[in-house]
Amino acid sequence: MGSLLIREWAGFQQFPPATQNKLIDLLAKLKQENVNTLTILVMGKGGVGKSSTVNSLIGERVVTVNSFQSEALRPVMVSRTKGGFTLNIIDTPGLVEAGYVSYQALQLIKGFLLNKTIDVLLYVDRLDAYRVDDLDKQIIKAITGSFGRDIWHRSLLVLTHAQLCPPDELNYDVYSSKRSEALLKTIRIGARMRKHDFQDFTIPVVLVENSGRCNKNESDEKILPNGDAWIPSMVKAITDVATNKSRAIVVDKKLIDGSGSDEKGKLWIPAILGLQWFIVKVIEQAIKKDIRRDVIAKGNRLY
Amino acid sequence: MDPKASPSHLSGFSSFSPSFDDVYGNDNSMKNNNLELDNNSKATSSVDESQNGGFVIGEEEEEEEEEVFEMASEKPSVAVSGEKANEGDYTDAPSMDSPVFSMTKSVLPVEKVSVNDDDDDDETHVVEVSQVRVLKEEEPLGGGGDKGIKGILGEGFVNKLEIESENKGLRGNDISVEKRKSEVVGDEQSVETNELSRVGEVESKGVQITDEGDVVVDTINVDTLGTGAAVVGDVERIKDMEIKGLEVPVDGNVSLENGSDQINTNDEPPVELKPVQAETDSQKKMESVSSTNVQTTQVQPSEQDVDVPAKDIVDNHEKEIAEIEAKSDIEGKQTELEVERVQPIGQDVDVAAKDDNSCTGNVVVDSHVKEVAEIEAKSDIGGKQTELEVGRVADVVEHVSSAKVDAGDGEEIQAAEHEAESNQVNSVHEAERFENDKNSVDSPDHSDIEVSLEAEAEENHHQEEDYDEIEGSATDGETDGMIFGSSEAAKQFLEELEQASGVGTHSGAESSRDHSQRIDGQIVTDSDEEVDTDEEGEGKELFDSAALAALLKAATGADSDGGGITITSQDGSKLFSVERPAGLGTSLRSLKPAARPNRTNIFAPSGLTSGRQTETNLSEEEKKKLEKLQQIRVKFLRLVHRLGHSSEDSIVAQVLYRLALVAGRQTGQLFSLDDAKRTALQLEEEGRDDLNFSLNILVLGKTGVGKSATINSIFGDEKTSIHAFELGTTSVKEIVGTVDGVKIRVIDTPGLKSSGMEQGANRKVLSSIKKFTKKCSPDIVLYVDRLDSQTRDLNDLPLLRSISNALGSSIWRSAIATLTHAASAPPDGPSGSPLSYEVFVAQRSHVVQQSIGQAVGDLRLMNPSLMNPVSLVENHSACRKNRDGQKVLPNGQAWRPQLLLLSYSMKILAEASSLSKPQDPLDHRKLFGFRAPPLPYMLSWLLQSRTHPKLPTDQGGDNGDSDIDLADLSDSDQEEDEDEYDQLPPFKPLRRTQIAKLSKEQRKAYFEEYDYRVKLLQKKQWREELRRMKEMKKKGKVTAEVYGDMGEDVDQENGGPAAVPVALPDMVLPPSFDGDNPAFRYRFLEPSSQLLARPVLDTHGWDHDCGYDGVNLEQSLVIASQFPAAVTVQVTKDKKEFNLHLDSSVAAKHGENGSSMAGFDIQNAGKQLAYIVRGETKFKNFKRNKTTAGVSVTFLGENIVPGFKLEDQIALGKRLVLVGSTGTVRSQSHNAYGANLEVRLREADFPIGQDQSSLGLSLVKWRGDLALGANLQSQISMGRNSKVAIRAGLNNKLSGQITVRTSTSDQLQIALVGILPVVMAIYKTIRPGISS
Repeated sequence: MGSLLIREWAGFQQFPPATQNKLIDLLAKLKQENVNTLTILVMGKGGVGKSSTVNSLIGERVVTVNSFQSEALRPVMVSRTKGGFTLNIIDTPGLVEAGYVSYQALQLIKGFLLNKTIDVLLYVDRLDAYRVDDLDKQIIKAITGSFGRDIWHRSLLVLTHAQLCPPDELNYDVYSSKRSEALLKTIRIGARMRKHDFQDFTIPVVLVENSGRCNKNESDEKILPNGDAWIPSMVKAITDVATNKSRAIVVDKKLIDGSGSDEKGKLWIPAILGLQWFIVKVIEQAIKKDIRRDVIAKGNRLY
Repeated sequence: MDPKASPSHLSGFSSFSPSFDDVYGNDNSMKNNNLELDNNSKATSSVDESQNGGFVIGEEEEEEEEEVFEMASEKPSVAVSGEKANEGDYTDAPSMDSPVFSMTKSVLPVEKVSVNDDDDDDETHVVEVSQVRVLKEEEPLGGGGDKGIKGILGEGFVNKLEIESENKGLRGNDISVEKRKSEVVGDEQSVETNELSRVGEVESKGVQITDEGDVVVDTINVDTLGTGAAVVGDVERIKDMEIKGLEVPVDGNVSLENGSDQINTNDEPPVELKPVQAETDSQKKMESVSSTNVQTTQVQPSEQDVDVPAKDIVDNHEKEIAEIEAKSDIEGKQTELEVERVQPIGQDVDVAAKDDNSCTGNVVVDSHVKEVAEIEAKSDIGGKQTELEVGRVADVVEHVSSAKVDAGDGEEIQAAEHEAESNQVNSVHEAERFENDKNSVDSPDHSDIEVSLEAEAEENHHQEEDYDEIEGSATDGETDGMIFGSSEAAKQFLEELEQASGVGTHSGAESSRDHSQRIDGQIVTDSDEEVDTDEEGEGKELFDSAALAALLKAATGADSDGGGITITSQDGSKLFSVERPAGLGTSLRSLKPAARPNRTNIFAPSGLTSGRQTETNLSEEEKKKLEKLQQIRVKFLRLVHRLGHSSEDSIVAQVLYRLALVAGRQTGQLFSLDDAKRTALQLEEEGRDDLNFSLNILVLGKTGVGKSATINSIFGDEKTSIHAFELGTTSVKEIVGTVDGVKIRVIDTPGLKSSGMEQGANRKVLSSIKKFTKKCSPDIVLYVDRLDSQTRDLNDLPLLRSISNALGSSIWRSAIATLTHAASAPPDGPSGSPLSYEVFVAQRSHVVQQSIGQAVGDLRLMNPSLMNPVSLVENHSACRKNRDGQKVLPNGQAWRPQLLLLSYSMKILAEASSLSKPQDPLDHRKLFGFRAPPLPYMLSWLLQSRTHPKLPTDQGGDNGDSDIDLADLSDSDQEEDEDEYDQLPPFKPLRRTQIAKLSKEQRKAYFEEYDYRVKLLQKKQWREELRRMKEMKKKGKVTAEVYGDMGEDVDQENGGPAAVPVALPDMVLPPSFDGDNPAFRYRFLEPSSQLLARPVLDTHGWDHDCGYDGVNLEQSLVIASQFPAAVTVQVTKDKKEFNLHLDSSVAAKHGENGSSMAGFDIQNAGKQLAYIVRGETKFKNFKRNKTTAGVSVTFLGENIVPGFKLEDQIALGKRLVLVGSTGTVRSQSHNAYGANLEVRLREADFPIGQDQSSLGLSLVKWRGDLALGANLQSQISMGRNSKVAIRAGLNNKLSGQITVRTSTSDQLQIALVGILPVVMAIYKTIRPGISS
């Protein structure tokens, strides 16, 4: 985890005082829960704003962002400490390439995450996209397949480009809830969660606006069209997830290599062998019996 | 290929030494020939370019002028070079100047009006209108063209002004038109030509001019020039006629012509019309500019013409007045001005004005537009003539009775159309009578005249229609007939006029003459002549008649005659003068000739004669095509107008430019942008709803990007339901609506999925789309994506590929990348600050275009011009709107009109290109499908030096034909050499194994010795052969067995001891044995008969295996046992083309020193077959000098191209050969001149040693463009096993090529040198400026 030099969270000072206060509260709450390290994994399609979100969260330009090219070809972990609390954020390359989920990228990410513990997953998509398509589902599936279904218990849905004017004269809240519902549904389907599973927990949705022209409130916090200062809300959502009852995902060899299907059925091998042997035996007997009957029949005819 | 052919391949314009063939090792002459063709084509193309750049046509021939015109029409930049020499003296000057002008591309017209000498005559100051108005168009599109035209006009004005000054005090009146910067230094009058000033400016100027009076008129003309070159030309003509300034006018005409060939004259009027419009507006205000323009143009010419005649008839003073009046007419509302100014003249003028008015007024506008279109459609000549005729008739009528008569004529003409000629003639006569009457009537009241003019205008409308019809139907013959009629009528008119009322009649006659002039550039010149005569005081009538005759001739369509007549009349000095009728000669003044040169240069050749010819040569199809093109253009302009865009918009300009390109050569008057604009404007103002335009749009794109919303926005209506989160569109459906009178049918489609896994679903959707598109194929495809979705990682590739696969990648050709959500804020850039909107859009567009390109898999990525256009869309209801309620993008652009414009443009272009499709879009210039043959190519073909077939007996003999002077090899030399070889100690070649044992030094020494001996042996053999040949010659015996066909000069040069009778250079085997190489497979081993047959290898082919694409057959035979003949046929065929090349020649020997050859060749020239009959005689006048003279006639399509050449070959010493040749070919009164000079330097013992170099210079002058090319070839042996051949060519357009060939049997690594050309090619590609 600490392979990189962990630097002081200088960007923290860049936040507006109001945000800083809120964050300090949240961090204190984390400490109460005895959480001194938080590792956040950021995943999503390319170009939805993962890196920008990381930058916003850290408050520094730690990851280069390019609107028209994917800069992050491999995962990058950014670590910052603040008063004994360590924040690790792992930015990852986009999971889609040429219309398909890039399992190569996924493999890279998994390799990078080896022996790390993921406290929170930020699944990033855009708020201002209207449709959810099959590709999203596949991405969810891929993530689920890689890190297990449980990872969704530690995840947040982050919707970027949240500063928008909804189409069709829709109310902003209605629009964003519709959009997040659509995505959550996809996640549910993609992760193959059963209804009641899903009802047990809800994936929090966080709206994000990373643009420099994001509106700000009187205390200079970036706010969403609905007036929320989104950075504190996001951090709050993160802390909530980090402190919920679910288990953090530890990425170990086993997880990376897959579900250990080699091991799974080993015990059954002798049993199956025995079964086979038994069946073969039965068939053999049947055949022999048949032959015998045949011979007898011939003998009868001879005589 | 035969040796004969081989030189040709090698040589572009300059013939390279044949020996290179070996180096290249290519047998295939065909390829080589093709290469030559290319060279030629390049040359021509370069010429064009230069023309495009704005040529000043100096003394160049008609051909040149035509091209210039064409070019001008195509590209706005027309440099009119009208340089006028001073009246008397500077004949040459024009040509020189003109080039200069052409060169100057500065936007500002350089009009240098220098008043040259005053001739003896009173005030005749010839303003030399040497002003070059090299107006360059800044914009490639129409705007530029106009400007260029304007520039030309400016010149013309200057001339006129000067002329006027000469005539009378008018000079004082002459105002310097400031519009253009051209200053007329002439008579104190500085006419400043306006720079590229548009119509508006011109108009204003024109108005000023009118105020001033005569001078004003001139200026007006200038203005008109600005708008349309043609007008100026007319004015110039008039002026010239009056003053001596004929020359100047000629220039103007020429310039006009340049703008648009023969049609140009017509065009010019339209152009003038525009300026006139301004004037008219000022005066009449009521007239719409566009309409007025058209009218004015027509009127102007007539007016001008009229003016001229008036001048002629009336005394100088009167004439001047008349002229002035005419000018005024032209400028604004001609009639009024004229009347006001000089009443007596005014009557005449009035008449003219009436004509003009009528034309300009009602008729003119429509007619012009229509006429222009029609004319275009029709053969240029025919159209022009017909138009001219009509114009003439109208003029006559007008003159007679300006209003009524004209109308009558017009009607008659309309009715008659084809038959109309006779009718027209009659009408003309009638008209003349009427005119006479009317003239008298008119003269009293100007107002009356005006009224009549109006009436005429109505009539004119009719006439316009008629014209159209006439154009369409009228044949040349008809036109001729018409012309005659008109001429007769004109004569009658003249007589009548004279009898009736001195001034009035004069004017009438003049007008008639003018009309005739108008009709043709030639006519104009005639009119000039007339004017001259008038000035001289000679019998006006006579002149008139002469002029009429000339006019008639010109009109009749004898292009050459007409041109000749005109030219001769103007200046006797020129070539054309010869053609001039004897009768006219007397009328010529000494002064005129000087002036004329200019005219002839600029004017007569190209515009008049050639132009007509070309027009006449236009096939019906082409006419139709042009007509359609013009219609398309008008349609497009109307659409643009409806969208509220100006024609200066870059997209519009591009489209217009491309349309002009499609129109190709024949973009004369028939295809005038100005006319199109006027027509469009007029139609729009009339609110006609006859726009035959509909648009089928297919909308494709990912789901949820806003396809349906975009459709709704386009229609401004909720045509289809949209939904943010659910599939808004579930099936393909058609939405029909009307936008701006354009019926738009949109195919809305369900959103496509970008996921690679879902392409199956996409395919379903796409197949249903395909079904739909089969019913109505889409004109435009909108590929919709979001501007703000930063799609990366090629996410859309599967989708795009699916589209390409399902609908064919051709749909991308009509695709517009439509980016919705265009109002979204740009993302943050790398610096953290938001990107600028432009950068954002550009980047995103690039990404989308690139994706499309990648999906299509073509080379779009490399060529930005092939990228799909991008349009931005913002459908959000909260989108900012401008005052008109149109949604605007953050950059302030209203996107909807932009999108529509783009769509219209693409559809228009598709329509236009579909018109030209049948022709093969690649050679829209018909480079080799020529209506006008590629003269430079013919020239180089002609200039090739050929070998004469020889009798076996004579093979290698030292006859006049032999390229090798046997005498050079002195006997003593031979003896010595032989001795040298014989005296060598015996030498035993070593075996390979033995060589391997040698030390390095030893090996080197061994090889040196070996090579030396081989060389000596070869020399010895060579010499023996020569000696034997000599002996044979002496004995006169045939030892055919031994020598067979040997002794072809080329072979000798090529291969040294050409002991094997092979007509084609032997196939060069690859240096290494490669089983795949077909050279081994199809090796032609042993000729078994006289008929040589062999495969033709395309060594330039990419395919390693299948380089053979043809067969070559050749045979040498002897006819009547004394005439050697050789026939070579080569047929090649590949996927693209089939080529046939036949060479046959028969030679006859005249004694020792002379030989004649007759030949017949057939070869492909483009898509046509060219049949060439040639003959030449070679004689050896000195020991070391051989001279060849030859003629050739090429039949290419309908063209007959005669050519003549002269060649001289001098051997300087043994090593140096100097070959100079010059020749000319002529086609359709275009001449191309060429000269080659070549120096060959050979190794001392040439046949054995292969080193040689040649430097060739070639000069080709064609259509006013001088193409200078230099070629250097050098072949050097490097070491003992390698040879390097370098070939470099460069021309004066700074395009060139370098070829390096190395062949070696040494180290293979050396083959890496072969990479050099590849590197060069890449380098050139990267920096296209270097090569072409």
